[in-house]
Amino acid sequence: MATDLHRAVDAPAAVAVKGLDKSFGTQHVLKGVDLDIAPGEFTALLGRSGSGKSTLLRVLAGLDTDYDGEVAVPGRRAVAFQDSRLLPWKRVLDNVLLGQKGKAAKAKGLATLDEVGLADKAKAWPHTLSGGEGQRAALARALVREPELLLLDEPFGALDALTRLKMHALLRKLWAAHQPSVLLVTHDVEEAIALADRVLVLTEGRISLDVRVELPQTAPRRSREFADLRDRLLAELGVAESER
Amino acid sequence: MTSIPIKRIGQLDIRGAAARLRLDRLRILIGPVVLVALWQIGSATGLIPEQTLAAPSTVISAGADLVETGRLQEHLLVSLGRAATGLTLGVLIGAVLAVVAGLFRFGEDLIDGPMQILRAIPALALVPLAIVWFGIGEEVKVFLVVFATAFPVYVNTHAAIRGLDPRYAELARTVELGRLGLVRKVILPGALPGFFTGLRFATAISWLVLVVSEQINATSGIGFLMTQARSFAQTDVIVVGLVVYGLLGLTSDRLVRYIEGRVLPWRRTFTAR
Repeated sequence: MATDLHRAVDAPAAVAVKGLDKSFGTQHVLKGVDLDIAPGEFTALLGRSGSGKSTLLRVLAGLDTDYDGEVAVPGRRAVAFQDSRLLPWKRVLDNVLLGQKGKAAKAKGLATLDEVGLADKAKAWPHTLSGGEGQRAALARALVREPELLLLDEPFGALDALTRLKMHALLRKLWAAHQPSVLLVTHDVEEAIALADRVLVLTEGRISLDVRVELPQTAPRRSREFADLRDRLLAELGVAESER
Repeated sequence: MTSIPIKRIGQLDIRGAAARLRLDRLRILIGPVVLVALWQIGSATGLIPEQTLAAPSTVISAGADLVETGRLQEHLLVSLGRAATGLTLGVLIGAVLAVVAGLFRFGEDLIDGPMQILRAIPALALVPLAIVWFGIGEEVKVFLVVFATAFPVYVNTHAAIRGLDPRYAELARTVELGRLGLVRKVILPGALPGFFTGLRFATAISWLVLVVSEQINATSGIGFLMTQARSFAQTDVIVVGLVVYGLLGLTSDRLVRYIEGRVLPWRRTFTAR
């Protein structure tokens, strides 16, 4: 189902999921998910609310350990959530350095903050940050871990449209620089197409669609291919043509 | 056409607001000043007999006398010592129990039930038992303060630990903070605001308990000073004692709030100092 036809697969997959089953009580949320993500691959996971996409991410993050099936993920993982989840009682830099040890950590944290454009906010308290800045700090906290797998759970969902576009560009830049495998969970079809190399759709606990994003280099968002893929994904998500 | 001046919300006149705030502070003094003036007039005209309530001027001179002879300082120090000792012990006990109950399952089972039951007992109801246990020495007063102050600290700190956003604990897992890191960097600092709420309650209560216990059986302290004055019908000295208690309560609350502001600079405050 989720086999990668486009990439040479001599390198072992960064993520290898086989027959993942997960239930909450009587609710069967994931029903045999198979998923491979190659090292450095940017994958977006779409799904309607309740489709189980966040559950899948939580399993990969190691936050949910009570499941059936095989899940292989890299040891170095990082997660960013829809809320920045910065500890209000720690300054931005200390939030970024949470869980980091050693003397070199501070310099690394500052460098990462600089990368996300928050160098001047290192000493700020989280409540003084805007929504976009909070998410930047959360990205810095994830990146400082040098993750092989970066898990993003609707990280831009609470941002306004303009800030979101800027964050998209930043995320692409960071991904290009660090080359982690990315799983971006989102319900925003255009976001998925614009950011990812590959888009998955999760429907009722199964991956129902797995497509590679191939857009022209110039003005990709306005291309015919973008519109076609958008329609195809919306259809898969059960949005009728009149509603698009 | 008339134009309506629009005040832009983003441009609140900060200096004007601060000046108004200072004025407001002065305005709240009007009531007390008028009251004291009426009281003085009442005393001067004989409307308020000396045996009922001494005149403000008499109270002031009595206070000055007490300071001059050093009696006020002596008893104040004793009261302060009792409050400080009792409060320190009570806060320590309350905080430690709250942390143990908040962090460990067995702690919760062992501690929380008894604490919730004991907390229903007014501390002053323990006076007879405390006298039987400790006699009428220093221990009774300190014990009562300890007992009374441990609970507000326990209840508020425990609630703060329990009420901590579980998403922070989840975050701690994603950055592999570990159990100790979770406690040190997430749970304890997150529970500090609750602890301070408890501390403020405890401070206020410590004076309340001291007032009563120093009047029941004591040979020193502000409460003793007042009881002694009662037997000689010195209403001026009694009022001096009341004023001192009031000032102590006010000052200690300010002090705790000041410390709170220094320890928790991250808290979003709507009113600037």
